[in-house]
Amino acid sequence: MFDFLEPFFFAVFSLGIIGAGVCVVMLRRITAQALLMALTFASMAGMFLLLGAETIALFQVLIYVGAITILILFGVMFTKQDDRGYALFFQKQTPWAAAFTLVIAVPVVFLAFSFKDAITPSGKGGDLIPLAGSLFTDYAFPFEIASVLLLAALVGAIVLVKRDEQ
Amino acid sequence: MPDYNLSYFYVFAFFLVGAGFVTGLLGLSRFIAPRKPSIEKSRTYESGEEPVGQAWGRYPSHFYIFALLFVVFDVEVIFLFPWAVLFRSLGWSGLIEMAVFILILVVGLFYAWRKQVLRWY
Repeated sequence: MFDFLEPFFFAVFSLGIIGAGVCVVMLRRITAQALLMALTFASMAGMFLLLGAETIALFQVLIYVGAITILILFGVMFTKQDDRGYALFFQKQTPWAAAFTLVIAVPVVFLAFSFKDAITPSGKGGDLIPLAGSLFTDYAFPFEIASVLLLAALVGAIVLVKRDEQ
Repeated sequence: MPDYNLSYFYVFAFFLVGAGFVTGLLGLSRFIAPRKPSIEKSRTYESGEEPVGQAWGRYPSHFYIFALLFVVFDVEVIFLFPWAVLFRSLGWSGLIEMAVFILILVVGLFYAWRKQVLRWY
């Protein structure tokens, strides 16, 4: 009865990702670009939901739609308004960007065709309990390394800001 | 289509109702409100004063560190959620894992404190 819903929402989220992503690249209004990027992130959260990864979807909303968008908006607050003329500078990178996109897109397309079906969570708690179980037993070491990565980001940011102030 | 996706249909319904509410009310006010624009009305609002300079002001990059600190500790809190769900069954090993994880990040917080980036001035 609800078989039409999954392709429908896939189309909605695809439009959200591709449409908002194209707008982020093409528009010249930087605040609107930041908010459209948040829409891209939110649509990707919807994709995760369709794949049955609801925990990842909620983390996507918390970190990307919440924190990263705030970070980008903060970055907008620090840029000079007359810096926008330099946006044209990036146009020189178009062939490189196209080549790089191809290098990434081709394997992704092959992976997409080899993808069978999503494993949907069942039972109480959704996918959070299996995710937590594997994170704290099988992947305990990468989990600890994640904190080192965060520490590196933190120290790097402090060093950069402190250097600017001197 | 699994059943669980149907429960997220309500989330989507909430989203639709919220978006419809906002656009409906804004559209209504645009439709029924009298519009007589003047120079004074369309001027940038600055607490009732004459606006000085442009609305696009630059802030000291010092404040960026607060946004970055927020992101780092936001990601840390994210990892606390799955840990809290399995807190009892993980036992001591889970507690030690999370203690190491948080201690490594506390080092970063301590570094930020010593470098005086936490001071709001």
